[in-house]
Amino acid sequence: MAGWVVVALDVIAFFAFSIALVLVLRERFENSNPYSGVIKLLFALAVLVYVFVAFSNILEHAGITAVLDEYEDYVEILFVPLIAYAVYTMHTARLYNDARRAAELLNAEHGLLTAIIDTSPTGIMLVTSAGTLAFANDMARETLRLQSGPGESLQMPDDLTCLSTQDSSVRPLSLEGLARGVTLFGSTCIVETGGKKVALSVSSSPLGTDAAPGAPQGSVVAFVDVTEREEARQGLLDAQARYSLDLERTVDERTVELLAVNRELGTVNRAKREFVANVSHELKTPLSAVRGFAELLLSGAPGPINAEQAKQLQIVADSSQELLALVERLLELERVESGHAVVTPSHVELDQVVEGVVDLIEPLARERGVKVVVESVGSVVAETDAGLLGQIVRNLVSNAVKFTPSNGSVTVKVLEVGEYRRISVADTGVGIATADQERIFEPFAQVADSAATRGGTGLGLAICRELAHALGGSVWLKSVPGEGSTFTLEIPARFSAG
Amino acid sequence: MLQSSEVVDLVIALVLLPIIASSGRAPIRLHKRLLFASYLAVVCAYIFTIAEGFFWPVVFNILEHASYAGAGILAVAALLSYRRHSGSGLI
Repeated sequence: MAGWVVVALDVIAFFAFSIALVLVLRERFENSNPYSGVIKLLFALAVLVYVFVAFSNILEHAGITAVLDEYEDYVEILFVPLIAYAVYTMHTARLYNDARRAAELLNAEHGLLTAIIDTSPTGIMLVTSAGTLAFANDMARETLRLQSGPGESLQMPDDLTCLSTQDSSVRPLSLEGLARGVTLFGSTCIVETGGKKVALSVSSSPLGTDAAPGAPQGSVVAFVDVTEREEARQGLLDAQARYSLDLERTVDERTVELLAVNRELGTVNRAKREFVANVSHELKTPLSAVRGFAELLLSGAPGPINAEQAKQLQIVADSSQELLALVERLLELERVESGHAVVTPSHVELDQVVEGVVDLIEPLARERGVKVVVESVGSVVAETDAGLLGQIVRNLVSNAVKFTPSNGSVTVKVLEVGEYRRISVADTGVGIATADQERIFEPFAQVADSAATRGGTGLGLAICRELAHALGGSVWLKSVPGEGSTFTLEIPARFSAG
Repeated sequence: MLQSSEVVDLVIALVLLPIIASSGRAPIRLHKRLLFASYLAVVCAYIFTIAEGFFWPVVFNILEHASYAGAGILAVAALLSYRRHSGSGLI
C-alpha cells in the first residue's frame, strides 16, 4: 500500500516538474536581457533534475527497473547549485536592467539639458582648470565667434578684448582668470568681435569645490547680450548730460539777465529814494514857512483878521501840518531803507516802553472811545534800541486805535519767548482781508476805506517792518475780517549787529 | 542507512539557503515566495531521506516523496505566477 502511495506521489512529482520544465522553456526571464537565456538554461536543468529523479523513482517503486537509481545521486547533487546560479544570475540580470534604465534616463536628461542649453539665449561655456574651453553652446559660439582649434578644442579669438565697465582689474572673459575659478555676478563688459562691439553681462562660478585652496578650479560661464540695454543707458546718460549742460547754460544766461535787471532796479531805486529825499527836503522848508506864517497870521501879530480869514488860515495851517508830517515820514522811510537807521543798543525794559507809548496815545484813544489795555508778565528786558522800539510800538498802537471803532479795545502784550521778545498789539477792529494782509507792509499800501476815512500816510507799517529788520527782528500780522487784527513784533533779546 | 551523497546534498542545500533566501528585493512577490517554498520542500525531502534511514522508514519515505511532489506543484505555481507578473511588468 505504502509503495503505491509513493508511486502516486512520484507520478505527481514527475508531471508537476515536467509541466514546470515546459513553463521554464516557454518563459522569457528578464525581458530583452542578455542573461535571459542563461537563466532559462539553469532553471530548466534544475527542473530537469527532478523530472529525472521522479521518473527514476516511478520506475523503481513501481518495480519496473532500478537501473536509473544509481545515477540519481550524481544528478540530484546538481540541483541546488543550479538553482543558486539561476537565482544569482537573475539578481545580476536585474542589476543590469537597473543600470541600463539609469543610463537611458541619464541620456534622456543629457539630451534635454543639451537641447535647453543649445536653444538658450544665454551664452554658456565651461572653462577647464587648464584654461581651455571644454564646452560652449550655440549662442556662445555665435556671439564670441569661437573657432574649433586643433584636436577639436574650442579657441577664443586672438583679438577678443573684454574690458569690464565696472572694475578695470577684472577681465570677465579672460581664460586665465576663468581657469582659476573666478566668481562674477553680471559683470558688464564690452566685446569687440568681427568689428562689432557687443555689451555682455557676464556671470561665472568656480566648477569644482573639492580642489585644494588656491588651486585652479575652472569655471562655468554664462553671459547675456545686453547691447541694447547698454546703448539705451548710454543714450539716457548722454541726454542727461546734454540737458544738464543746456540747463546750466540757460540758468547762467538768466542769472546774467537778472543781475543786469537787478543792477538797473538798484539804480532806479536809488534814484527814486534820492528823488523822494530831495523833493521831501525841498518841500519841508517852504511847508514850514507856510505853516509858520499861517500860524503867525492866526495869532493876530501882523494885524487883525476877521472870522472868515481866521477859518481859512486855520485850514492852510492844518493842511501844511499834514503835508509836513507826510514829508517827515517819507524822509524817515528813506533813511531806514537806505540803512541810515543807526541802532544804539542799551538795556531796555520793554514793559516800560509800552507803558510810555500807551500814555502818549491815551488822549487819542479816549477821544475815539477806545480802551487800551497792557498785559505784561512783569519786567521784560532786552538789549536793543529803545528809540526805534518805541517808534515801532507807537506806530502799531496808534494804527490799532485809529482802526478800532468806538467802544472797542486794544490789548498790548509783552512776552518772553526763549531768546526772543514779543510785543503783540491786538485790536477789535474790522480786520484785514486775507488778500490785503501781504501787501499791508508795502509803502503807501492801505486797504480800502482806511486812508480816506482814518487819515494816515500809508507809510507807518512799512517803517515798522524796516525798523524791525534793523533791530534783527520781524513783524507779522494775523487778522480775521470782522473780528480784529493782531500785529506781533519779535526782536532778539540781545541785538547783534550784522 | 546513512548515505554520504544524501548528506552532501543536504549540506549544500543548507549552505546555499541564505544566499537564495536573500537574493530577492522588497517587495517580495508571490512567485518568489512560491519558488522559495518549492526549494524548502526539496530541502525537507533531503532531510526525510536521511531520517528514513534511522526512524520510521515508511513514514519518512512517504514524506520524502510527498515533499518532491509538493516541490513540483509549488514550482509550477511559482512559474505561473511569474508568467502573470512578467506580463504586467511587475517583476
